[in-house]
Amino acid sequence: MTAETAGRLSQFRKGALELAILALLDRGELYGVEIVERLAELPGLAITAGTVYPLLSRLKKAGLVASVWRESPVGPPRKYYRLTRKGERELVELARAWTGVSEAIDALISEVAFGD
Amino acid sequence: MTDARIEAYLDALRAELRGLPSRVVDETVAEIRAHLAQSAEAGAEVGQLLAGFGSPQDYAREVRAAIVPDEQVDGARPQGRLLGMPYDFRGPSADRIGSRMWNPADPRIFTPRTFGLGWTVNFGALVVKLGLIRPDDTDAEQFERAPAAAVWAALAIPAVMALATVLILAVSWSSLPAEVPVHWGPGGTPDGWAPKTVGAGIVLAFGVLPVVVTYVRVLRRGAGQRTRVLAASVLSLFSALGVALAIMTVQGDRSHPVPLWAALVGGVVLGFFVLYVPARLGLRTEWRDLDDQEG
Repeated sequence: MTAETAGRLSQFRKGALELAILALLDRGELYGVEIVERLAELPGLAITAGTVYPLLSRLKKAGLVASVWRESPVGPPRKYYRLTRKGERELVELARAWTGVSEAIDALISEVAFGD
Repeated sequence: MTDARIEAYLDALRAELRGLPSRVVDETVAEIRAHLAQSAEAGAEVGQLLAGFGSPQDYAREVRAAIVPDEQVDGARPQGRLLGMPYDFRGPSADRIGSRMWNPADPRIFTPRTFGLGWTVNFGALVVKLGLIRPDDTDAEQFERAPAAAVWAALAIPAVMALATVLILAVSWSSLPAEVPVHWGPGGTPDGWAPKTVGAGIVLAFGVLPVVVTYVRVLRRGAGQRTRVLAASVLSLFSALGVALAIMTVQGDRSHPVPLWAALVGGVVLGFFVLYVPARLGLRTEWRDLDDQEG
């Protein structure tokens, strides 16, 4: 993979990752480590902690998620994130758009032969 | 638990983040520290964890990319500077007022003024400094979560004072002399006079008109609670000054150094509470909702 391809892929994943984070938080509030772990379970996204936290602060700045520090029963305090109402609306919009885009792209690339 | 590698990484990161607001830097570092501590406790290896964040340079670049573009568009910047003083003559929008008057995440107490020349008080930074809330407790939604009664109460304060101004003028109208004071010297001694219709007009234009005009705008459907609370806060100062002016106008040639100063201080204090109480109540609702979700 060339550096150019890698750069393109990283841009591509970052956009998708914002949607992934919103979708994850739609099921309930999570703290930082949980978000990183849940996303790391999805091999296609190939994420690290270093990409997740800056994206969380971006989403927070945009008013899509809110956060609060809370004591943890064990260990250090945790920062919990949840969707705001604006975030919920944004998620619905983005998810709808994503479905449209992904169906169109799937149809286009289904004719591309992999591995050749 | 601490580890020399973690501290070295965080120090390097702090250096890379230089220039960003200290709130952002502290928050970023606190979050990474929490992540590392929790993951290490769960048995992960520190070197590997740090590798997940990338080099301090790379991570700092990510943080800047995430924060800076939004800051440039959120309107918290003045239009320009004049003799070192920020100015902004774009029409004030609710968002711009909001980002300057109530922004706990911004540690500056004096932010560029919403309209005109000079600075405005960021009540958000003030309550953080006073230790009443923490900077990242809040978001724009917190006013929207404030109980409607608190917002109506906030709006009622300038309305009551505007009404008081009208009443003071109305009650004493027939006993007023033909000329009333319209300007006062530094000691509160009247030194400028005008026909009483002009004097009353000035008082009404200053203490009542802004309230009426603004209320017509913010009471229309669609204005958010935040807009209403912010309007009530600014108008508290205007209407407090209006009451003082009305008193000084109807008292004729007596000199009274106290009312204007009292009104200025009282108006600012009132403006603060008009903003703070709904914000605090909104925050409480937010926390209660979170607790309900947990329990």
